[in-house]
Amino acid sequence: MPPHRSAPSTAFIDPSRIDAILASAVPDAEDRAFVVRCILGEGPAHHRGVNYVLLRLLGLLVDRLGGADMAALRERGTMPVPMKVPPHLERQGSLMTYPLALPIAPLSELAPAATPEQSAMVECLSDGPPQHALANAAMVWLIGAALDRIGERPPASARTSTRPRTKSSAPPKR
Amino acid sequence: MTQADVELPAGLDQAFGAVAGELGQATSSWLFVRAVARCAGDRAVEGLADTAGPQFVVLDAVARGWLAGVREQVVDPRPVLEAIGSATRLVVVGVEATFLDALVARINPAVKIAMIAHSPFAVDWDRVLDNYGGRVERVDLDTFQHWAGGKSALLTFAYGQNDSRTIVAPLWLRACGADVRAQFRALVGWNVLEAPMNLYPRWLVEVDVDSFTHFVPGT
Amino acid sequence: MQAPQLILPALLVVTLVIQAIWPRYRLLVVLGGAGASCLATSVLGLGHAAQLLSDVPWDVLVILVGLGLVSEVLVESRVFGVMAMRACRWSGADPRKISLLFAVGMYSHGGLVNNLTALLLILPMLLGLYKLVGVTQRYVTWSIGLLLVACNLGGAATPIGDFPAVLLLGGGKMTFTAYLVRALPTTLVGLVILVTLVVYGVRPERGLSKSPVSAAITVDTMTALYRNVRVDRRMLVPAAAALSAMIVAWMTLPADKGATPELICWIGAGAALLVRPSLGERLIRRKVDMEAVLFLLGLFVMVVAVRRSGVFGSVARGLVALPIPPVAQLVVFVLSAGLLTALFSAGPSMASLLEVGDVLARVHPPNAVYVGLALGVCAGSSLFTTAATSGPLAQALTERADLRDAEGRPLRFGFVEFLPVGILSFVVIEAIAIGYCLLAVQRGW
Repeated sequence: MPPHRSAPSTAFIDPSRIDAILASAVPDAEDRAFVVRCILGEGPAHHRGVNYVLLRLLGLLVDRLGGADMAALRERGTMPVPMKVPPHLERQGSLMTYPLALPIAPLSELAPAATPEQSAMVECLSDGPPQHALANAAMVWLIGAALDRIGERPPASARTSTRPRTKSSAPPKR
Repeated sequence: MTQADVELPAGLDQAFGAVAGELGQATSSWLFVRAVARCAGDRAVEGLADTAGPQFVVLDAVARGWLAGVREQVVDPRPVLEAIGSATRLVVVGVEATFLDALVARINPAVKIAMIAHSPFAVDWDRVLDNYGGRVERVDLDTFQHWAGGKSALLTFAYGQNDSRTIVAPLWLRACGADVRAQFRALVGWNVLEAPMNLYPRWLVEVDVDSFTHFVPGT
Repeated sequence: MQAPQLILPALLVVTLVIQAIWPRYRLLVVLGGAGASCLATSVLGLGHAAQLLSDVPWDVLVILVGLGLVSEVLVESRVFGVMAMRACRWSGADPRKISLLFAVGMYSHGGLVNNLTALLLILPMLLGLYKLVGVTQRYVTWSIGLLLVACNLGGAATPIGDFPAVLLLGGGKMTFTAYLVRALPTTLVGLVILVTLVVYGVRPERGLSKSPVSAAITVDTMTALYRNVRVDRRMLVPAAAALSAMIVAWMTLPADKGATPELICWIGAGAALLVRPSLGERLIRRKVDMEAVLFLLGLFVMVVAVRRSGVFGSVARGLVALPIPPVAQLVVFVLSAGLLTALFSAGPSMASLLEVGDVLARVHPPNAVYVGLALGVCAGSSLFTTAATSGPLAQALTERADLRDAEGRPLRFGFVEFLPVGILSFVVIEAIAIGYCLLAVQRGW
């Protein structure tokens, strides 16, 4: 019988970091606390750890690219991330959705909007337990913000040359 | 007949069980303790704890607390209202009449409130809800998820706190499973018992305080 | 005796016996018996099923359903629960006063709402009260027993209280007022005698501990349980107004001009339900006692079939031909009503004996015959727990409550426990019924 493995330690998880990362994606503090709890506080330990690590890394990426403009991303459309209650208990007329929606603009890089392909992508991203669905949504926000930043940069040919200079004839200063 | 001469009648445990489900164990305990103290004095309160306490540990705790000088029940819904925050739907798990009355009186009228009609005791749920004049709706254990959502909160009553552990009705564990935890934004525990429990919590179960998003100490 | 006069009554009796032995299958049995009666009458040339169905007193069924729905509207207003709670507080949790107040209350309710509705409302609360007060088997037997009998008396007090009286009203045997002014005082006398005998003679509360602690806990608890429960006047006032209007209409409007009792009931019940249409629709869908309606329908079909055989007329003629004074014939009739009801329950007995009563009413004062019959049926309903549906219901509710005495022994309310109460009640009510008949004949009431 293989030795029993204990769950990995998640002592490294600091919810306040993720809360800060998602601040502009979910402006309301109570809503954001709920989202952060679902991503980092529910589900198996390794899911929680993975979510934290990947969101932190993406957060760092976005910061180094100059920060996230979530408002612009939001304006280009979002899809709700639904709660998976039993179908007969769903409230008609107002879906039971999480306060963190899924931005559509980044997915349009992969498939045109309002196509079956994109719909299938949305479904895949928002399926599964809440810690998966919400972490996916948060990552798409961050990836989308990063793509926007990269998209704002001028093309490589228009940028100042970075080729190393040729050697000068002047001797080096002592 | 003086207070000292009044003996406790037999069958008080049966009497307590008849109302604990409908008023809540803490509310019923305070009612019984006050009535016994009024009619028969503190010695009879001790007798009440000795006879009915082993079966109803909340009653034991309230009675012993009374004997230790805790003569008033602390009922302050304000921290609970803060914990609920901007939730627009509240599902109450368990019954504690005194506390729920205070909460319902102060909560935003726009907040819709429901109560899960499930109890190990016999309860006239129509009568329980009639006391709220339509303000509280009835839901069942298998349908309360209809009230889930990003603006929904769950509330239950806790009976004392011991370090990181507290005691709640088993209904909380039935209701607040792993799936439900991620469908309600706030999971609030409201401690309604000041005095600690000394006996094994029959009718109740121990959980971590951390399992709540907000734990209101109540004192 | 011809074949129909043997077969059809036999079908009726066998059906009633089987449904009494196996009450779990009573609907199946009674409806099966009705089908067999239709087949028998058809084969015997006494009439087809359509003819039997056209003879069914549909007006009685309409009245029962209508009054039942009005009762449910009153229930929704919470008036009965609030009144019961106030009775408890007035009693100060004194067991003797509880018995007295609830018996009087059930008599009053029984005259307006059907017995089952009244019992379903009051008994669970009363059983909860008993748990708080702490009671003995003796107390449970006599107090719940008195409650049932008071309910039966209340049902017989008015033409709308219970099925036997409704049958008289619906069938046009007596006017509303004529029945009320005779039955109400008579049943009231019966109630006073029984309450006096039980509360002050038997004294069920003997042996109960009269602890002030129990009383304090009981009163405080009842107050807490009903702390914010209020009567919904928006439901109570229109329903009460509709019921009052119906009573006035029954008393004043001439049935021969079209204002028949069932029409008045239909319109009155409809008005009560229209106060809150969504609730009215819900009550109609969920609260109509279809079990009682189907049971009575099956029963009426069988009784109509037996009537066509001529048996009832023969029985009545036999009774009239007995070599005893006319008043004694009436006494025999009333006693028979009581005993048959005790064995076969109120519905079948009343429906069958009314046919006999119609013949007797040609030679005796009709009011004496019909009121005597109703009171005899009331006495029979009070003899055994099985004689009326309220008995088994009370038994089931008591068992479900898991009531125990101070030593932890379970307390029951069943056939055996109720017997002493039943015998006393039967004797008293039959005596009252016979006394009424004698007075009625003598004074021409």
